Amino acid sequence: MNWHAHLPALLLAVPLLGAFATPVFNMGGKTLRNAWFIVISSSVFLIALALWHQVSVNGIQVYVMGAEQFALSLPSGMKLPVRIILEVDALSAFMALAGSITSLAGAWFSLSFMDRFTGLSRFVSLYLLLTVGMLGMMITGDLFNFFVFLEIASVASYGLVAFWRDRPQAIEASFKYMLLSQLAAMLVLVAIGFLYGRYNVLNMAAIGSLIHMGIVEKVALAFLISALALKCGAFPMYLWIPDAYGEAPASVSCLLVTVSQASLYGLFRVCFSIYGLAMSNKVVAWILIIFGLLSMFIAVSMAVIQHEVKRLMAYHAVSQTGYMLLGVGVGLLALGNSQALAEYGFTALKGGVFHIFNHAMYKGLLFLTAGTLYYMTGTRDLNKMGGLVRKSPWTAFMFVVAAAAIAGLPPMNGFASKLLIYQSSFAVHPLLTVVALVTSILTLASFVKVFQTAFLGPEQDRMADVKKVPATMLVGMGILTVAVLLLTFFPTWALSHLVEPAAKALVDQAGYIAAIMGGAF
Amino acid sequence: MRKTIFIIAALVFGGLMLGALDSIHPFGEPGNVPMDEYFLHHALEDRSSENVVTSIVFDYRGFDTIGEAAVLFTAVCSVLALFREGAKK
Amino acid sequence: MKPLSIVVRTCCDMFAWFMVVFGSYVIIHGDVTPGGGFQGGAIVATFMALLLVAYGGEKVLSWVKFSFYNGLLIVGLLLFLLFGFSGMANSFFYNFLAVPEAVALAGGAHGIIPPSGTIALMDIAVGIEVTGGLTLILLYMFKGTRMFNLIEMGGETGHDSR
Repeated sequence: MNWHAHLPALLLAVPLLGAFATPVFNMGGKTLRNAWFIVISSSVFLIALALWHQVSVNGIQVYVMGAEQFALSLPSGMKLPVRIILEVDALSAFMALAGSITSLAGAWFSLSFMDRFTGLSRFVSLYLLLTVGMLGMMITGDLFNFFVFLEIASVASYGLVAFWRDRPQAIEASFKYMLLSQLAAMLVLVAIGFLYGRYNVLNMAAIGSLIHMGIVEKVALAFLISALALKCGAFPMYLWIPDAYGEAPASVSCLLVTVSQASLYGLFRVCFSIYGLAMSNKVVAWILIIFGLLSMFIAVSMAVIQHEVKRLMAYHAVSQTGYMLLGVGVGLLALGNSQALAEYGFTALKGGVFHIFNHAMYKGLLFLTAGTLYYMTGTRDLNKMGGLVRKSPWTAFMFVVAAAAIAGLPPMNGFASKLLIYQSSFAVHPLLTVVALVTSILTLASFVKVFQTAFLGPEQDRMADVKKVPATMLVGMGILTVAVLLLTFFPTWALSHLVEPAAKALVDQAGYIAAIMGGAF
Repeated sequence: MRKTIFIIAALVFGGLMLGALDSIHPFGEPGNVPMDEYFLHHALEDRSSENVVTSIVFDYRGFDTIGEAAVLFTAVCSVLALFREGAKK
Repeated sequence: MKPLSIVVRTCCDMFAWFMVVFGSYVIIHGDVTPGGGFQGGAIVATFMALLLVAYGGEKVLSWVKFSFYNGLLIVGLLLFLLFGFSGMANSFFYNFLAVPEAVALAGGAHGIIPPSGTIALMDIAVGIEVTGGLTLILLYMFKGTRMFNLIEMGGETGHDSR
């Protein structure tokens, strides 16, 4: 039995087993539960790495759940797939890699960060289920399966955001998030229902091969775009993000960033691989570009004036999502036109896709350092902190790395992806580049403010009794720092081996469909 | 003022949904049915189950069912995490 | 909550265990009659709802054992995953016990109900899990309404403490 071929199913089955078996391990004591948590998170990371390697060598991996052979997508006598099929192409494997790295870093971090709270076996189960939901959204090839994993991730995050239930703002944030997120999930379900009623198949590739636009498909597209943009934090629908990311425990915020990127991935799948060239891509592309510009600018201007650390970083998360929408929107604008694609479209797609990975790494690291600041001082208000660089120089170093990456200072990885976005959006209209540059400057300004207030400066006398940072928290932050530094020192390798196959897979609708339907497209 | 915007938005949304619902296929007759017919014909022959709904839920689309069982477990964990007994003073 | 009158309590005594039996019937016959794991599990969970309404919270919370229902939840889920993994030779959720009907009729030893393999077994596992899960939600939410009377909260503030 060749277990290399079963990797997509193992990527989802292993953390499910981990989440379900955690209460059993909890009976053996705290150390056993922590050990089980780390073992499961590390094996998820190794499986994602092996899966990425296999996809980059062998092409699109297809796995059919419950069939006689795992690659039999069309049963005898049928022209359409019947069972649930997981389809992993280069973009899915790329995002699953990013997700598993942030999940592992958050797992190491929460070993000692959450130490003084009870109910930790529930926390570990919910965290592993959030990981399952995120990974399932990224590798599935079936629309209703996408909705089920979206629900798993949403319900797990409602519980995790409200985990510090003694604080009423946390419960209010979770309730607000729950209402908006349920609305989005219902809209997605209605849109899937429309597409199923029309074509009687639920598989993404099969719908992509059969689709032709009419009023039903247009309404379904409108519902899907608005619901998935709500889940990932685009402009008019981002108001739940500062509350939810700010009130959650720090390792949960680190993972929630990548969960929102999974909804962004769903948005790109719908626009590029299901609808593709059948829709009028100029209208949808300009909608995405305008959402991106407004998110970038408005979120960063609200971020500069915040004085609570995690809310500030949550606003920055919204603005960086704007960069990704801008990049991929420009790529979508050039989709049908192969000359425009070669000129600026493909560069824009590369920039947007690379920015997803970079953002997951440095934004996760920023949330973890904010959690460390809270652990050390017991407060979140910037006005009350000062002079922490003497107490924990390692944290200060990692914060500087992450802040330089997010502000786009050369030679960090944030600069590489932002440069690609600036170059390509300038070819469409210069105003887009101007807004992106101004946003970058304001981002730099707000992080200089945070660094100067929290780390530099004189020590205040209430800071005399800060706690020491435990080793496992430093390990968690260190994983993400190593990832950021590796991307900084080897940008050409990252661009040609990680990003370019992913961007090519996004544009290649015919290949996505042919992997399942067998070339009958 | 806010109420008028909400009423207009609700009417537009409802109109879009009804318009789309009307044009999926004529009311009462299914449009395309290749996958449904596959299930109806093959559930008893291949899988020997007399209840086609259960065979779809647990065999043809069993992965969605483990997802739904996981959602139930997640909801139970969330409720237990929220209503846990705190640390004893 | 105080216990309700003797009439309500007697009716509850008569019907409570009957709900469990009926719910188990719906779960076990999932692959033959309409119903199945999820529906039957919800029916069994109304056992605890009847008891909570008729006997009042104090009495019920004093004899119920949370670990039993936790155990039901975990056993159901792990059994379901076990059945999923055991067909792994072909693929992840493969129904390795099902026998196609033509072969089963020729074999002649199966009786009236055709052997549908892991469909029936997974059905029972889901029924056990839903029972445990819904009962736990009922009990914990009930405990939550009286949380400030029953236990002392303390020490876990997640917010600014200094």
